Amino acid sequence: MTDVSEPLLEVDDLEKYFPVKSGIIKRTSDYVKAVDGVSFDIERGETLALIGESGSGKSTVARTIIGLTGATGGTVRFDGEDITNATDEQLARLRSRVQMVFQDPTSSLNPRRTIGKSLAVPLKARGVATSDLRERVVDLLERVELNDEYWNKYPHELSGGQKQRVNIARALAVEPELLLLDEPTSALDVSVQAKIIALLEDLQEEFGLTYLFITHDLSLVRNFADETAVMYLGEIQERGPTEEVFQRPRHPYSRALLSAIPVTTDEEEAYKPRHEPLRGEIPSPRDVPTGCRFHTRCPYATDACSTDEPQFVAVDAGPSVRCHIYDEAYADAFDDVPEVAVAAVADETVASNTHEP
Amino acid sequence: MKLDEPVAENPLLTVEDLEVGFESFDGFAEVIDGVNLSIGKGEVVTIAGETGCGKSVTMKSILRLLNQPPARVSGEITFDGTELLSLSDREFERVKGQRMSLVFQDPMSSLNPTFTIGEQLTDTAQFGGDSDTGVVEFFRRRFSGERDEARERVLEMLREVQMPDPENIMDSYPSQLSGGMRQRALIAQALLNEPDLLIADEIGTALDVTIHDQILDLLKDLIENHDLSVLMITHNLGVARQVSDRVYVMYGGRIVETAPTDELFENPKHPYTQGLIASIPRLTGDEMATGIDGSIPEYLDPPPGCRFAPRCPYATAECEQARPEMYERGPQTGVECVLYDEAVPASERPTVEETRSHMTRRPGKQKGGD
Repeated sequence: MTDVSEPLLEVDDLEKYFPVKSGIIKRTSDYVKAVDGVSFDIERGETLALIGESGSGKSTVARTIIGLTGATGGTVRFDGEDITNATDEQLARLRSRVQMVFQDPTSSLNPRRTIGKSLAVPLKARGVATSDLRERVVDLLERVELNDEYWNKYPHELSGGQKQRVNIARALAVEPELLLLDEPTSALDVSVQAKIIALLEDLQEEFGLTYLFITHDLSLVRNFADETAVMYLGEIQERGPTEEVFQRPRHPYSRALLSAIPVTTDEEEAYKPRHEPLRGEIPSPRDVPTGCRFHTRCPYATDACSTDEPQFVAVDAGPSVRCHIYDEAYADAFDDVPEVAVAAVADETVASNTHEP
Repeated sequence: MKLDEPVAENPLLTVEDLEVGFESFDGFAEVIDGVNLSIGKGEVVTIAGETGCGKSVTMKSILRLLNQPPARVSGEITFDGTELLSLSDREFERVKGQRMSLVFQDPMSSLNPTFTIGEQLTDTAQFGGDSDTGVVEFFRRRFSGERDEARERVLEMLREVQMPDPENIMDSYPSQLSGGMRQRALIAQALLNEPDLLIADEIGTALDVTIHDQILDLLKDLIENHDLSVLMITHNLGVARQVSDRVYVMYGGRIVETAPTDELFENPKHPYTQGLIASIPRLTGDEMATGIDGSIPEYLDPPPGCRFAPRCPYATAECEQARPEMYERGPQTGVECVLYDEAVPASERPTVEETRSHMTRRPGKQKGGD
């Protein structure tokens, strides 16, 4: 990595353990390891998608980055500055450069404030003069393709998609560089979701924004993200260029996620990895399985998987994967592992419409 | 205004000309406007549509779950030869309890938190379909060998829905179960009295994608083993494609298109269906449409003609004046769109690709529409 392209956000070995207290004197008896050693970088103007099921710790990563919860280990660097467990003074600076958009568009707006007022708050905090407020708010609304009629409306008068636009406008009010998008479209219908994604793409182009996009919907990030990281139980299991992760998902969990998506065309059906339904459900982060965290559900798990923890290593100079299948030392233990479980047909389909980010 | 209904051969349930409206402070909201549908014996039928299109209201009026007033329901609902709307509550209760089952959308809130899974399911097995058993009968059934038999049956059913560790689950409260397990418990409960018709409202949507996948697989097996007729309600077209034989697409309280599943996905006809399919993000990375402009109609004052006309890229003045007919386009296939009138040359009918390109033109500065 050269100095010129220093990543905007560097997360290194981030840990967030929530203490579990029990007994009369509330002694800490155990920890919920919500985030356990997560590392990634995001370059300026790029998008990293963080994917995982509920309970995988993806939202906690975002909340820890922006200082809503403190980290218990590791470092977060924003634009070269260490912002792990930031001081109040740091936070004040930080939050005009990093903003978050939450999942539920309804509960993240104050129902008793008009849209105009909600949008004026961050502007006031930035020291915009009261006389300019209205003009600036209308500007913001226009950026997200709404108009000044919304100044006097209350959140309950808006549809879900409109509310999410207002939330995005509010996050943009302080002209941030990095947006943390925590499942911004999961509460919306597909036709509205498509509009919000298009808006986010436009905004990224216009303002050179950097996104951390958190979602459980893999198909959504296919066109949207430059890099994709798949999380499971507080750890990143696979991380690499989106193209690569989709064309050749290496980790069994990535494959299971991909194969579980209900799709609408035969081309997509051919594109999906072989159907490998997972056993059981995600274990509690309080009682993390030993060895590989995924071994309790993995269709290929061997004895070694339940004792030895796999390393996070780059495979074929492509994405990094945390799985013994790609480790020489264990390779003999596995049989019936699909080379990379994508049908040959799919490769051609993909090659013909390779996406340029 | 309808196909040569019923569309299904040998129908178990037919709904004809269903109209549902709600009285509200702001006026009368005409939500369901002339819905026709039918479900054949052993057929899996999906109603697909977005939030607010009336799919749940349709389901609730079939099961009489709407309070009248404020709701006003009219039309004809026939279940296996019996006209349901004219039955007394008690008679309907019997039909519903013994022959129809509903699996609700939210596995978190559809189980009673104060009873164990075993108690709830055994009660269903013993008393399902009897709204009033009488005190003597209640005690007789509750405290006799029948209770143990019913319990056995519940255990068996829990095993059938692949509930992990069913013996322990019987004595657990819903709060001790994960979302996927609760959904399994609900499915088991719905199947206990061996219904003919299963209505599944957004089954598994609240769950994670891998668990959702497990539940759908389970459902497919159960449908086959029990020879169920199923009415699925979903907003996810991918789910509709995976599970069902035939799909009804709803928009604005009307059915705008119906076709066998393969036909619908290979050759969607109605501009709304096309827009919807084009808006779904693709795994293959094909460009995604930027969504359908505008928002769903206000039911208090719906558009007078085609309800999709204000958002339709192909709408003409004609569309805004009169409701289009349901044009038959092949077996079990119908489209409610003027473009499919015999008089319109086939070349004028849009393909999904055209609709996609109409909806991908960017930046689409349509103000305020979601």
